[in-house]
Amino acid sequence: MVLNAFALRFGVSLRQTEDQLVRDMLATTLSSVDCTDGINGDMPTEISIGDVSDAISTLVNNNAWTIESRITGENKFGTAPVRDAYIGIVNSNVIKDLENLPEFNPKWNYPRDNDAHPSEWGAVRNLRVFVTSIGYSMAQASALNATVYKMFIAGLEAAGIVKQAGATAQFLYRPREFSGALMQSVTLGWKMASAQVVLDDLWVIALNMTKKA
Amino acid sequence: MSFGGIISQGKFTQASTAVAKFVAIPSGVDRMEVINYTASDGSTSGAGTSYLWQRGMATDGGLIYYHPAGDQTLAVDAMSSGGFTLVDSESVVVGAGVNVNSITSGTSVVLNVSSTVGIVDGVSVVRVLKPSGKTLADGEPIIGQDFLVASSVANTSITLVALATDPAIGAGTAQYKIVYTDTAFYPRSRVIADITAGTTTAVYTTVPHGLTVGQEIRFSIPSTSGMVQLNPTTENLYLSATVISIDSTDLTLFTVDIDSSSFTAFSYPTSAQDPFSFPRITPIGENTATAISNNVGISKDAKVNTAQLGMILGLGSDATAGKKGPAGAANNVMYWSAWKAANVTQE
Repeated sequence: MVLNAFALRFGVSLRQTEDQLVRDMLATTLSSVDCTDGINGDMPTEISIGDVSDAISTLVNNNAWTIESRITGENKFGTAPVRDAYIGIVNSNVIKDLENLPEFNPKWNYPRDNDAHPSEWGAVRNLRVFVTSIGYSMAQASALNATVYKMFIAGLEAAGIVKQAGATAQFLYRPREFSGALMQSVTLGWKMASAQVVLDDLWVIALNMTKKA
Repeated sequence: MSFGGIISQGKFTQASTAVAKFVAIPSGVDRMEVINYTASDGSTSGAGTSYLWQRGMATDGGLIYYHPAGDQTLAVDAMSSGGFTLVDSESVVVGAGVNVNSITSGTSVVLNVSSTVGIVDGVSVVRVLKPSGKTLADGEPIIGQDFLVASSVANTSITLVALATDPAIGAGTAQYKIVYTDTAFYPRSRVIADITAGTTTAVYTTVPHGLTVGQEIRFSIPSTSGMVQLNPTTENLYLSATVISIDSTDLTLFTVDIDSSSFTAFSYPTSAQDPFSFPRITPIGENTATAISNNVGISKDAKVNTAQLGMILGLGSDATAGKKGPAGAANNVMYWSAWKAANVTQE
């Protein structure tokens, strides 16, 4: 029972670590653009509709395919259709700024619930935004000494993970019999190898931003 | 961990100019001991002979054993700074904030300071910050950025790597922090300090670029910085550039195979342009033909996670002046051992 509970937690830990490795790879190696159309007086500014449009235009000009298909409108009160879209992943600390974007369409206004992903927050123009508490951030990195967040905006197959033969994730359990004569402790853990790659740098952008307030 | 004892040990010799030392200890560490073999064998008054750190001690602290007089007697003292710092370099590790009294702007920006402890010319990278209480104007284009230290005058000034144009930094106070580790993955996107146009194009970055000959890069230059002709567009077929040479002494300089003779001149951002986007280069791949012809590995563009667990051994501080830190002094021979405990309790 305890072992099963640990295995569940380790699963989360392992996958979250994979996410963090991809995040760090993208943060370090991607071309990044600073938001400049916001009004908070910082450098970079908070995200604005102009910055989103610039990023989308860049990806379209670079022939990046959108990841998400469009969601057609339905005759339901308060809903709105969603364009085919690139995916943006960002730290959940900027949710307030996202919701202040003109044209931001929260996922609960999508025509069909099933078309929204669990960590998705909403869509603006041709961008659907996902938020996470482990989204990339750099403390004291703006011109006003504020935290800078990176939103990775990606098209289809812009980045990937290379699976390595014989190095997939392993859960390890060593019973207490191996800990010594008194059999006092067991060993539980996981290990994995992971290789991340940007498949085409033109199809993914890191958008740097601060918070408005 | 269910084991205890020494898990790793090693030796290093300090350079002719002592620098803080990073010791990689992949499995983590609960206790670390450093012996200054040179100082232990000597009898210099104030010289540190051994250093001890144990999990629970303050960051950048530890104990120092030293010669209190010009003989081989020993005394002990606690270090308040310049000692041991346990790090996980997945996050960029920076040192403590040091006051910048004023900034002299120019193509070579000068930080006027009262302390340069730990700064090594041509090696140290500093991050300029404006924490609360500092008076530098908002939007100055050096805040939050990392710069290689070009030169310094002890406890007086730090001159940053040269920029293409004067960023016109205004009056005011700030802080700098020494940046000990780089971002986790290689190869890295860098901010451009200067570009010299020509039949081939010379690019200077604000910190050592780490590129190798044969690597392909793309530029991202905002219109405020000129030379936008280097940016990838549909018209120039998504222009990329191959690194054709690396300067052996200036680690921020490399040359690419683009004829930029007729391009707009490059300029570094100024505070008047705020808000702006910084000009950057991004490694995107490898020109294998160029790499092979220069005897460089053809997989240098592979994304590599360089993050490590380990310990930064400091150089000591003013409080331990003369006693130095666990990194030792110039040319000192140092021995270290790292321990892991079966159990750690702290009450």
